[in-house]
Amino acid sequence: MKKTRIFFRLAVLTLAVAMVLSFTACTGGSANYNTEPHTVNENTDQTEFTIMGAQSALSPGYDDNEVLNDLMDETGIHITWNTMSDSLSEQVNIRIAGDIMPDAFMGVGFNNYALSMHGEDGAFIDLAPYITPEIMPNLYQILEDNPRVRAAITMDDGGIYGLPAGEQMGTGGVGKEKDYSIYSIPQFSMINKAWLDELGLEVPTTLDELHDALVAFKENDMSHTYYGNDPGTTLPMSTGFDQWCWGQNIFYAGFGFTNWINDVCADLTLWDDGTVGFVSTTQNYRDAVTYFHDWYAEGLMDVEMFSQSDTQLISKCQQGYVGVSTWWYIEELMGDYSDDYVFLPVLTGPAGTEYEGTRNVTIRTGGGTNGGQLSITSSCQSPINLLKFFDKWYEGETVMQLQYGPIGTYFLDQDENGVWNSITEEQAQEKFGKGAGELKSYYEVQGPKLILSKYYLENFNMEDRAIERLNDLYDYWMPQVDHDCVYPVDCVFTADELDTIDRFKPDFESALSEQEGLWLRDGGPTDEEWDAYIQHLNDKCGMQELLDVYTAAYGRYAAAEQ
Amino acid sequence: MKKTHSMSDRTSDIILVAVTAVVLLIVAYPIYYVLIASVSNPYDVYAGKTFLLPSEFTLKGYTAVFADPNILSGYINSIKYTVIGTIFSVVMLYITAYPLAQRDLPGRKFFSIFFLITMYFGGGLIPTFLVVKQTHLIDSIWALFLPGGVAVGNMIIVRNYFQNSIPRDLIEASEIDGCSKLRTFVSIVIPLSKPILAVMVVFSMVAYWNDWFTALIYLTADKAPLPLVLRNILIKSSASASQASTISGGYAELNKLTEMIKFSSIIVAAAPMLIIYPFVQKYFEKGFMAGAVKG
Repeated sequence: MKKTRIFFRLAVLTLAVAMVLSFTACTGGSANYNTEPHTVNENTDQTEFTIMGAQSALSPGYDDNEVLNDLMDETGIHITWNTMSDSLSEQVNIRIAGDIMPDAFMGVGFNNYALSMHGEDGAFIDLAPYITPEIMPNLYQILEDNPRVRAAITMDDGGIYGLPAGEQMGTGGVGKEKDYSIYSIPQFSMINKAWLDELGLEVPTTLDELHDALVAFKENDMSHTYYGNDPGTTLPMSTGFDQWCWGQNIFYAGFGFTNWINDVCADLTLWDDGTVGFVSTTQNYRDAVTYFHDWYAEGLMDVEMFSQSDTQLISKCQQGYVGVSTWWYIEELMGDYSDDYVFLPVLTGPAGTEYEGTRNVTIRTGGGTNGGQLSITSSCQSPINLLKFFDKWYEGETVMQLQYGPIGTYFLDQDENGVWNSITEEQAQEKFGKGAGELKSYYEVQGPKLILSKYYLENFNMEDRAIERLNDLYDYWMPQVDHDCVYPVDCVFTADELDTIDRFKPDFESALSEQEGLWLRDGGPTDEEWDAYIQHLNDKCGMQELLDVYTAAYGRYAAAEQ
Repeated sequence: MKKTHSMSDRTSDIILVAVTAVVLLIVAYPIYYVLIASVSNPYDVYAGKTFLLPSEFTLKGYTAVFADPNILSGYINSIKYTVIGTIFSVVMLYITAYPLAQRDLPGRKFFSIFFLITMYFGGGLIPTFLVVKQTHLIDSIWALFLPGGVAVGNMIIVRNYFQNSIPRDLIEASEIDGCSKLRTFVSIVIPLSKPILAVMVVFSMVAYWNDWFTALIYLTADKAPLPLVLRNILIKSSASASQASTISGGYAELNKLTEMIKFSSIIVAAAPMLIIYPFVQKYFEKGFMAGAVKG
């Protein structure tokens, strides 16, 4: 008895010693500062650097990348690349926690929260003092010309802990008057025209007409009677649920909104009067889920819409089971049956209600600018040398080659204005035996690449598919948009605001999505359910706090614009 | 009397055979299904068209998997890690479980608790990484074996087996005959514990064969085991598909290949285990429950 007690004490003692040791070990390894933060470190001795970062899964690594090697020769430095295509964030976190720091992290995609945090704890140095005409002339000029870019990468404390990156691919890049991001409308709806013709129906223009068409598809089992599939295989309409390019959200336009996947916060909307709100607390939203539940209950919407993957959707579509669906390209989704499908225009709301004639697509933002693509750590001795190298990245012709591939490989010829043409799919297959997309993935360097809209006009032409999609977007879909206001993805939040977002947003978003699904499946909300829902969002999910944060951030953004 | 006896025998036989046939079907069909799915058009698989026979037979998935230059080194590494890891962890189990099975071991309770604590509390990823880093095991294959070298749950099973299933009389007899503790262990205990040995070998073997995460964290790419290689092949394929989905088109076609690779890599990774299993299995049925009861 006594013996065991002694051993117990021994155990406790060993544990205690081990814990003390581990704490001291932790504090012993904290970062060492070379200079005062927020000033320029004038040291230029170091010319050998190690960078840890991302590469595309198809890339062979950057050691033999001629574009990067040329840039290194030009600036007189050498970089050892330690890059990987997946599990990068785990590896990076382990490195930061274990204080095994490279000179810089590239292409990791730190969010503003991580950047502020690592800026504050001294792991990343403040780059703002280095962005001068002497050290970084190209970037300096871009930030002078585009105050928005500067605003997007400047943290709350005035520091810049990462160089800007972004891809401003939009209709402006194909010479349109207004510049809409390629991501403005992610879902293009489509319908089987052959089935409509067979049934003697017109292409619907209202939700009611679509409803009748779907009922006709179902009753006549079109997949069976027209394509000869097994009886009962017809799925009048199949989509995902709140998915990127294959969701049901485009059909809500008849109720005056479309709640796309949102990079800022789910269902966050900037109304055309400049106020910020959540669309999922409006009467329109309530009426929409109530209305579409009837479709679901009648078996017009696929019962698997909540659970299926894009692969499952493609599978169904390529068998010819599906009457109506959404994607970017018809060919992609419908395979052999593509010729039978046409784009379905944005449909107006149900007749006899206040939504008769309503047809409003709310657009979404583009990729925006982010500062998480290149951060220099406190272990770098000569940030100036490294930044001179990265300043070269902010030249149109250089960034084009970093994004797609070298001149002579991906860019083979120039048009009459000296603008480079991308390799075509056929040329790529012929010369390299790969698709153009694969070729891009092979040569692409992931890092602080800022591709300005004007580069598409001055330096290189976009890929054919992108041009086609932008033309579709501009000519066919944008005219159906009433208000092109959208909550800016570049809004910068203060540290406190980021804490609030971090605390509430995940719960809030999952509560919205779960409830939307339940109402679609089980029937729209009664007054009590609706009140309970609003109350739940307010009490448990911090809706008001989130709204305040987003309103305040937009207020600062709008003020800076003027 | 005799007749009814054989009648009931026969009915029970029929019932037993029927039940085992159903169980066999439940176990075997999924494997068969994956096998045919790996040679079919995946869109047909997802549309439910491959119930018994493959549709649009193709070996593209396997071609893509075996075209990868790392697959062979992946196999070799995996076999190496599995063999070394299994021997190492079985040895560790035996040399920890046997002393703990001795009722006269000084500090027996302390050591039991010492081991038990690790069952309930782990350091987490980053602290463990720091330990591995400070012991200079990063990029050494021992990083796979040394941390967590004693599987405590298994160790308790082995200890209970030693305590309960090896007759004390035999051990006492050997001691009377002049055996040392070590000799008793080698000549009496080890031969008598073959069933539990087989069980532990299979447990460790499967665990090391399937382990990819440890290798991902601690080892460089050239030391990657098979599951990690397969994972990279899959990631490459889906990366090229998602590349296509954003800009250049052709997602549906590339995604098809990704899905095929998924099914074929299951077969490629599971085949060696499926082949080895029957050889160990004859010990398995005896040993599985052994030592599980009586704390």
